[in-house]
Amino acid sequence: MHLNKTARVVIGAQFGDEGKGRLTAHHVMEIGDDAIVVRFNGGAQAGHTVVAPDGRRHVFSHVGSGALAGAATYLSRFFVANPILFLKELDLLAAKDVTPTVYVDPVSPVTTPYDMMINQIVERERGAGRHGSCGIGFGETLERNLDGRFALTVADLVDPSILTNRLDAIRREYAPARLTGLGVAHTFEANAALFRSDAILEHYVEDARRFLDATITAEARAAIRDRPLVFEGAQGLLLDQDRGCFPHVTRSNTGLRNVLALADELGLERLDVTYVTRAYLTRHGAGPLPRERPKKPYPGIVDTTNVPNEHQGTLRFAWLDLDLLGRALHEDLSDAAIYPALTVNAGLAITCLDQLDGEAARYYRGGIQHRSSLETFVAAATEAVGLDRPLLGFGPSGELMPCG
Amino acid sequence: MGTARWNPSDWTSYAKSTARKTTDTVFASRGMDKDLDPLGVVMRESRDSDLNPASTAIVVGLDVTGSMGMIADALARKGLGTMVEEILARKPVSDPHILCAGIGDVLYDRAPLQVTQFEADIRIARQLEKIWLEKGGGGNSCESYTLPWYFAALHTSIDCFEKRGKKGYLFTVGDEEPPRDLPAKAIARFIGDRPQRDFSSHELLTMVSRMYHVFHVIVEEGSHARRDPHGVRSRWVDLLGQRVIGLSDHTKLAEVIVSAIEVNEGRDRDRVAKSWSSWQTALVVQRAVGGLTPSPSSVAGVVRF
Repeated sequence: MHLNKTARVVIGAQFGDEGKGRLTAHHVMEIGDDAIVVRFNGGAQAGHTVVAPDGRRHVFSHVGSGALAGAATYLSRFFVANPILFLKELDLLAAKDVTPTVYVDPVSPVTTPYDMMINQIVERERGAGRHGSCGIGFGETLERNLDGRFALTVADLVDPSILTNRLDAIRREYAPARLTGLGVAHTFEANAALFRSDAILEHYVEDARRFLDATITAEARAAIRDRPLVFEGAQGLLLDQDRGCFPHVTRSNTGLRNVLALADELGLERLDVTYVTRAYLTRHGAGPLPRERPKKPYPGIVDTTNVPNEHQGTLRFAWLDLDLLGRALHEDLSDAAIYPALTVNAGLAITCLDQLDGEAARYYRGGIQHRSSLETFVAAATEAVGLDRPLLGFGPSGELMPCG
Repeated sequence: MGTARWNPSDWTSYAKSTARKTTDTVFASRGMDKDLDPLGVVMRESRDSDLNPASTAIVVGLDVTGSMGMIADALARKGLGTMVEEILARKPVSDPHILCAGIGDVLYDRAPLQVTQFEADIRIARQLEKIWLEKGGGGNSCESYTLPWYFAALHTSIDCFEKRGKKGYLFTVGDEEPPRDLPAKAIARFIGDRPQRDFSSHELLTMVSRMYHVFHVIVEEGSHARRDPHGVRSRWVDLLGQRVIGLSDHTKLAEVIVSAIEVNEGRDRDRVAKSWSSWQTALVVQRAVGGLTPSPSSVAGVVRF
């Protein structure tokens, strides 16, 4: 039997929205439907748009972006499962005749309705000072899971009576204490109808059962061993909890760190990592955005995935800063030194190049804005990050072009 | 950003589309059912009959306050019914007659006591559905577990004791501490008697122990018992001695109560525990009844702890 000791890795180099989903789907199409897409950070807040060659389009959040091409998904222990939203996504996929195979590590943390409620309440209270959260309780889940009395993992979903008790303790004891800790104690009573609704609790217990029915948890890790793996990152390096600009960050390691830990456990020997960036910089939600522009930098930008929501506002734009890009990649790759047995090959992918629409490329390097042809821009980018042979992306479903 | 969106307004439809019946619809009660109201009840009777010639009265009171949370739902909805079935099936005592009670807090609740009739068969299930889960209780750390003691002592008439000198059984089930006393005002308000003064819990225990073997089951999963497990237990032990039973898994209430009765009737503890088919049940029972010893005397009038 051929053992796969090499895995491909897709990591966003910006604030998200780089085109990770598209590149993941591209990898899967090269490998075949034997591939398994591994989610190694984040949770259901991801939104990875993939357009299949046959025109089917899906925005992946829980399910790995290879599913339209038939690849299975592995939700690792670094991924936060959200049964409510997972089932919503399965319904959307079913409408497109896709029934994905999803493996889940039983120790993965699980989001409850109360994490979502707390997240939404707090983000609303922050008003103009909001952190840019999606309002689906991802960070709140991790916070709650720090307390053993209220922690919830996929394994805890199995027994409905244990689950019911845990949920009840979360809504009665944890939620008011957490809201008090966040300085908004009064919001618990104001939202008491939500927290006290037994209907919501019972619907969730039902959803937990459906989640288990729709996924494979037993021996999940053994099932993916020696299969061709594509690690699909969520969010981007600039949102990393340790390296981004706190508090406008996501509560996970968006770079190589989790991949390295999983690769080590799975006995992999080599990782081919691609860092993905758009030809310009975008940010969704609050927080600093260097070189921000008041409007779209290029005329051809059309984004149907990122519609404004209550919690994050609209998509923001900036020119690409190549020094910032180089620094982010360099810092992330430095983590690989902890695992000397693993060989890490890094590459760069630049997407959305078609959106320049014939205009000159504009970017910052050395603190100065440059205007150049597309070729000069690509050459400057590869030089700035110290990686050659980038992949170039033109258009939503177009093939990625290797560039010499 | 993702497509995974969830707006606060989505909760409304999420709550509506529950596939199963919710707690609220199973227990539709929005107030105490008049059939369960102890106010003005002279006697609840457990009488021998042709079908049940040697009846034994069993009273089980369940804490239905907020600190019990969903466990109150689970126990009231399923646990009590299972318990009745188990008692009727295993018959740890002859011809069991069962009365169920809902217990709240006299300081905070509108219905701190609700009592069914004594029933000899599963018809009691229909009365259980009427129990109002007020989910009240309050900031004190006790519930009025002694209110059913008072009621049983003075407002039940049981043939097992009166005709045959054999005590009935009284179990209270909950996660909080016993109260220190029961105010005369509360007795007047909820039961309708006009006592001259308050009763201490010790006095009430002495009164009720004349006719009943009294036990308390601590629901260790309840939020109060989890916060202060030792405090709850030690305060109950001060009052009841060895007749305090720790219930680690609320789904095993029926087995634990049946086992406690069996041990009290003189059956061997270990053998009782092992008689349950699943090892999980055996383990919970073993832990719960481990401290019990057979009643020193089943002769009336002997109160010993």
